Amino acid sequence: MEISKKESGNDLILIVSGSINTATAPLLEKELSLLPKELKSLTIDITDVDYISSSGLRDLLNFQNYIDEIGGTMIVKGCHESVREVFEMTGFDTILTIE
Amino acid sequence: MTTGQTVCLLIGTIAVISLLAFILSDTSKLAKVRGNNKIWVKAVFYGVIGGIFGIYATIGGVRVEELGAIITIRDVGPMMAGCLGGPISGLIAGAIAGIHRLFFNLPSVIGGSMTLTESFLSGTTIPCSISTFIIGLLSGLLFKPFSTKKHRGLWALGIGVVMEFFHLFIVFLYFWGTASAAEGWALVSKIIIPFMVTNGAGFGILIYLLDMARKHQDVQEKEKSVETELNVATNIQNNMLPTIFPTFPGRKEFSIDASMTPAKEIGGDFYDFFFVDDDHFAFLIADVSGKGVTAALFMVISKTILKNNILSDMPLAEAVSKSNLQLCDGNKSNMFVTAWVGVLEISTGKLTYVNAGHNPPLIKHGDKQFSYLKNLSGLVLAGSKKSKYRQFSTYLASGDRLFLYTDGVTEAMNIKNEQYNEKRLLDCISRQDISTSATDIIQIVKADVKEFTGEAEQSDDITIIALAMNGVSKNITVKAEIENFDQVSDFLEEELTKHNIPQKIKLKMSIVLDELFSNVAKYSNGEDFSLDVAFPRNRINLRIEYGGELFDATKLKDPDVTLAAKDRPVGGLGIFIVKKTMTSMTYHSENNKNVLTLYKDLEDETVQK
Repeated sequence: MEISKKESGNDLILIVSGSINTATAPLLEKELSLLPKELKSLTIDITDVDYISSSGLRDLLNFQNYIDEIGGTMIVKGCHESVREVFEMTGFDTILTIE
Repeated sequence: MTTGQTVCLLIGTIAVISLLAFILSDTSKLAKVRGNNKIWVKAVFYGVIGGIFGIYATIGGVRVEELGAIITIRDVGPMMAGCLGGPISGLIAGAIAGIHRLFFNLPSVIGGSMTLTESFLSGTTIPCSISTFIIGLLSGLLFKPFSTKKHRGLWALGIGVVMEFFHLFIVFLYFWGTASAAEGWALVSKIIIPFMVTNGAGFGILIYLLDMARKHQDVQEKEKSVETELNVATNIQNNMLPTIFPTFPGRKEFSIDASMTPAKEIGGDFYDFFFVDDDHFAFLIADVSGKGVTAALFMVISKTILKNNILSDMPLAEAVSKSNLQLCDGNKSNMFVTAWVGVLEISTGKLTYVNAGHNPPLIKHGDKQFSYLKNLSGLVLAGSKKSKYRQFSTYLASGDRLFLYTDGVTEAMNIKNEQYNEKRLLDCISRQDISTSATDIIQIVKADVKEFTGEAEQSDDITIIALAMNGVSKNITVKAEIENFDQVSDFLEEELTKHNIPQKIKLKMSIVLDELFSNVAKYSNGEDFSLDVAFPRNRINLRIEYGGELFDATKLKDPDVTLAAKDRPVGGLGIFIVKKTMTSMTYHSENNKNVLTLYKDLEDETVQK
């Protein structure tokens, strides 16, 4: 898994590629601690993510809860079919804002 | 002496003779002496017994006071000793009984009522003593010819009569010499008939009883040796059947176990299994008509012929047809054999089978219930040369089961003459779950049959084969630590690619593996994580085995997926995803390890979409 970042003002885009699994999820979690406090909007682009496991879901949940706390918005962008299925299966499609 | 007293005496004497016959023939330690290799031990044995009997007869004899004679069967002792033990025995017995007779009046001498000489000279003391001794010797000379005679009882009767005639002739001579022929004749003529009759009859009865007893013993010994031979036959038969389990070490694709319990020493049931080649495994169960030696012999022939033909390169139905023809040849005793023969292609799980008049096996596919495989290919084997056989096929996937048995199971009877029957068998097997091994299921069914039949005697051979498909699996085993995840993940990916699994499902399997591995890594403290993957028809099988605390993960409560983000717990989703993704997930523990058996039906996907 690789993560690249695009920042413009108070907007941040995280571009993730590869698999968000048990081995890689900690890397994404680390990004959470690096998020700027004044963040207004976060976009997580997972167009190139082929699958996401529950470890990845946990990260996304933590991101969402953090953003909700600081009053920002979060968008998950570019869901692969198998990723979407997992979101639907676990009810994450109702928690996350998927584009 | 009254007639009644004489009869009573006679009965008493015959009783003693019977006892003697019993002692001489008995099965206990005396028999060892009788059969002792040291000739002199045997000779002394017979001699002493004969002598003691002589003494007994002299004391117990009828004293004819006015004649100074004793009518006795004393001579039976030396005759027996001589005829059965040989010259030395005869001599010993004759000497003991004769000397005893000579000193028979000793109490009177000691009492002072007569002198020693008077006691010798009284009545028939001297001739009787001498003749008893000589009869012992003469009988000893008869030892050889007597031992080979057929009706020894009659011969003994004759010997007794002749010997007593001789005995009284000596008495007559004695009186003729010491007194007069007339006096001798007066005495002898009175006692010759009772002497000849009682001694002839006594010796005849003794030998007759003895021979009867020995014959009886011989029959018993023969029966014992037949039994021993049957035991040998049982062993040979058992050795003909594959008995080492697990039979094929290194073959993880399936496990098989079998059991045969004959009703008698040797049975007509048999089973067999062997590899035709690396990828084809043959197994069969059969029941020969009838029981006992005939059935056992036919079993040997049937087993050999079937194996030979199955091993030769021809379709299964043809192999069975050919076996039928060969078994029909020279089958004059009209035996027949029912057989169920299967050949499993391990790489594909394809099972080809022929059922020649045998009981329908029970089969279980996946999650479905056990059911009877009722297809019949043709008549029993060896029944008719015209019989035609066709083969059927089905597929056995990982987790599938096959249960074969003979009618000894379904027709086992209880004391009320009720049969165990197919329904009861089906019920018993259906109660078992997927974790029941082939070995266990056999024991369970046998116990259930036993419980049903109770006190009733087993009337037919009981034979069972259980086959469980594990699938063609590939395995990887690593320490359950996160840094090993990629290794396991790559392995699975490679296997899925090899079997042309669509990308979409591959990704799902990756998620499943991720969830399973991460959970195990979290809880099992770096113990082994072992993954088996198999690809039976239209299915992906995963079997994971791992150490740590035994815990049934399938029992975890599903998380509430409708909660809002802030109310969501962070854990508990993994196993839920696995459950949702796979068609089936079951848990059991094995050798103190956790085992999760999962499969994904590929058809599920096509139905959903």
